[in-house]
Amino acid sequence: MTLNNLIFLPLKKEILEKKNYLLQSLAFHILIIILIYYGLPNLFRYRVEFLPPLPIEIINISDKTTAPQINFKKTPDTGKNKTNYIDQEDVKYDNQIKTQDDSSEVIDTKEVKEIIKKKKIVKLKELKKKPNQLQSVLKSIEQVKRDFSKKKKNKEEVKSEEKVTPTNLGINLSISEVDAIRRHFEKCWNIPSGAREVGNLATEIKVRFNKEGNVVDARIVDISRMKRDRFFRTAAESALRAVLNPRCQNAPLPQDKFDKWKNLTLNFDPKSIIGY
Amino acid sequence: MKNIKKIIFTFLIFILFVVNANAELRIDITSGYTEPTPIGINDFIGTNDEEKIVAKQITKLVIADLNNSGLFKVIDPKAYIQKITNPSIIPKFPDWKVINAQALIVGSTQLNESGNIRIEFRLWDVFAEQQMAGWAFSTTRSNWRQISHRIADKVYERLTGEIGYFDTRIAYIAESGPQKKRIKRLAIMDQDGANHRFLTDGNNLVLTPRFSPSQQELTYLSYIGRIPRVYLLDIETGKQEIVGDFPGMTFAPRFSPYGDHVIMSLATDGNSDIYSYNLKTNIRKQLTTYRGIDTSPSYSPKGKKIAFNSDRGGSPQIYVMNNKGKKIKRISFGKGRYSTPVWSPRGDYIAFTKYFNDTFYIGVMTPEGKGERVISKGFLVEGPTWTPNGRMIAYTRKDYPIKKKEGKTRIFLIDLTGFHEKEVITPLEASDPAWSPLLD
Amino acid sequence: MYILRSISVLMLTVFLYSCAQQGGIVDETTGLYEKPGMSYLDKQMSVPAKIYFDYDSYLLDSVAEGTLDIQVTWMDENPAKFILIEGHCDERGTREYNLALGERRANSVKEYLASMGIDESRLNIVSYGKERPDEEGSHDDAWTLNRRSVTTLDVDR
Repeated sequence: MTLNNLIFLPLKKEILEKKNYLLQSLAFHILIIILIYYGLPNLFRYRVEFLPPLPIEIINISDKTTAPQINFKKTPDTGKNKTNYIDQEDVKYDNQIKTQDDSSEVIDTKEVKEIIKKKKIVKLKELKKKPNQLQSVLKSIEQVKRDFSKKKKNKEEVKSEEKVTPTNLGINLSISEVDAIRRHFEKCWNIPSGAREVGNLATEIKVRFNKEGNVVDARIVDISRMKRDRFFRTAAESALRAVLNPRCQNAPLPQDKFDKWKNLTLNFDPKSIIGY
Repeated sequence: MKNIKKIIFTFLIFILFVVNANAELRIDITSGYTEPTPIGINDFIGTNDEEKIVAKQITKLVIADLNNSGLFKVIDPKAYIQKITNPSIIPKFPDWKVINAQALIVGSTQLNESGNIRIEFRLWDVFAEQQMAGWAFSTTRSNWRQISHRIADKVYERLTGEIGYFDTRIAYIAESGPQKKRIKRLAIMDQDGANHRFLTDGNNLVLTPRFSPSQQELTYLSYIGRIPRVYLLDIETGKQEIVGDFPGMTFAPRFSPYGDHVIMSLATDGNSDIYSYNLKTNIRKQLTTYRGIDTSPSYSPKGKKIAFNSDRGGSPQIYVMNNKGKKIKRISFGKGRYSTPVWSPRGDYIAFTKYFNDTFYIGVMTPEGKGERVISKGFLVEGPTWTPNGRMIAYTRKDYPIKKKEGKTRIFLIDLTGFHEKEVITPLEASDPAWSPLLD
Repeated sequence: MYILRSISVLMLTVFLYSCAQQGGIVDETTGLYEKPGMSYLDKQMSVPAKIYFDYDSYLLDSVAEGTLDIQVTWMDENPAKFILIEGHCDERGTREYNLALGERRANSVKEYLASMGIDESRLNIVSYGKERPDEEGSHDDAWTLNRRSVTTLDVDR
């Protein structure tokens, strides 16, 4: 009993009296711990193990991918109408020119002076333009570009006027077309397994196709490496065999984009398999 | 100056245009399939009956070698459309393309009066329609097996880029009898099982044979006089001699890459350490001093480093040190007990045995301890040995017991990728395989 | 008739021989007296020859020490006998590591016997690794019996 009195009662008294200070101290302590926990960097971070990078393909997405075929056949009449319209405008312009000529004969000497002044002003304006010749070059090039693309569009419009179908809107091969080609050659590529991991064994093969999708010519790009690296030679020969394999004739290549795929570079990269 | 700038600028932009306009489409192909490459082997052509017999023997052996490597599949001759009887003609490639032969071997055999054989053969790339290579070999008729293996080696090398391993031998321990009183004999054979013979009589327990680089000798452990010691055996003469005069049990021997040293463990007073023994000077050098178990030493291909098994970390693990016994570094850190490290002849991997969760594994890791991979597992698999091209591993495999009856012990061979596991056929049960190095 | 007689003679000889051993057989290579399941150093079969170890261990437990104490007494009573201590392992380890472990087990026994006063020059050790199991079979019961050290008579000395 006395023990209790000796120890616990005075303690109680102390705490109750100095309650204020104790609470403040406790609050500050907790604040600092929170700051440390969230503020300082965690030195005991687990070692992050990096997995080998997955091969990522950069897919060439064409402006417009293949949409289902819908035929909008426009009658050739509209084309003719357009040209007629242009002719009419030209005719109008000619008339205007004529009227101007007529009025010039009536000019007094006063008006001639004014005309001379106007010419001078125009000349000054031209002088100011000179220091920015580069700009003018750029501008002119832009003009060329615009003209070029306009011409292109004109050409295509002419073509498309015959049959305006959405399939002709894509310029490059679509994702699904590229994918089809890839899957086609994958099934013919017998990859040499277990070769020593000697770094990059990716082989580029330049292939020339004919219109039926058959390989007309194929060659390995890096011939010099073939001579000095026998592991590369094995990988390259396997890639070449994949392309020349008779089972891989008739590649699924879209007929109407022949220009785009008649010369292809196929890059056979076994890195996801070799080097286990 | 400004004019020049203008010209250059225009030119550059023009180039950009041109390049863009003609950019060729590039497609990445990152997967395919892995299967043994189908090839055609036309019977080696002989002009008379004698030659035809030899030609047939050689063809059969070349086919067996290439098929057994797991990397090739020789198409059944019954499926061949063109039967080539003249070795100098260009093959009709469409006939071979149709049966999907990616390569074709055509050869001829000649026997001359002195009994020597001369083989000429060509390797054709069927899809590219051109000759890849051509070789000629000659030897005595009795050596026809060796020439067949050399032919297979050349084809293997040209098509895979790897060194061939067909002209090699396997030394191993032939086992028979009940487990309690097992009879073990040293045996040697060609890698395809031919020319098999026993080298010891089975009166004394023999274990763990290893080849010398010259292939002339074996080093192994024998219990002659009931004292286990390391011995050397001359394969041709059969002569055995003890290695060193050690005050205790010596075991786990291996040759150094140049054949001048034998490295081994010496066990005395409950402690085993690694010693290297110079065969010329008879001087021995202690390489480890840890009081515990240090065993299964294995040199790196150039002899600069040694991998070994030690329990200094509390359980059996793999360590690497230099050939002077310094710079000891642990390289195995996975779960389990690691032992029997064996350095690959290519230097890129160390094979080992691992025991974890009641299962044994054969695995490989880099000499730095990275990229640990398990390539085989079983009730009891141990003691890997490399083929000299560092592509395949042979090891001991004991099957799971069937109804309390112990499984058979046999030698298996597996590719580094973990595929093509197959048994190496031996007359009796077998263990402790050692693959011979290549003769230079 | 003749054959029958020779066979019966043979069988009698064998029977008598085994009787003479009081139900046990002497192993020529170890000099131990064998009764099914147990081996003894003495003819009376009161001194067990084998002690057992835990997996991957070479430490002596109290049972082992008790057995070894009995052996010590017998060795003191037979000071002319030379001893060969064998160390063995079960099959759940690689060949070379087990050779080393077997040597450690045998050495544990030797050190204990020497510490109990037996002259070291009488004691030799040999390791058989996992090559000479006592019990055939690939299961726990067999393995437990194979992780052992056997004190034998050195028949070569």
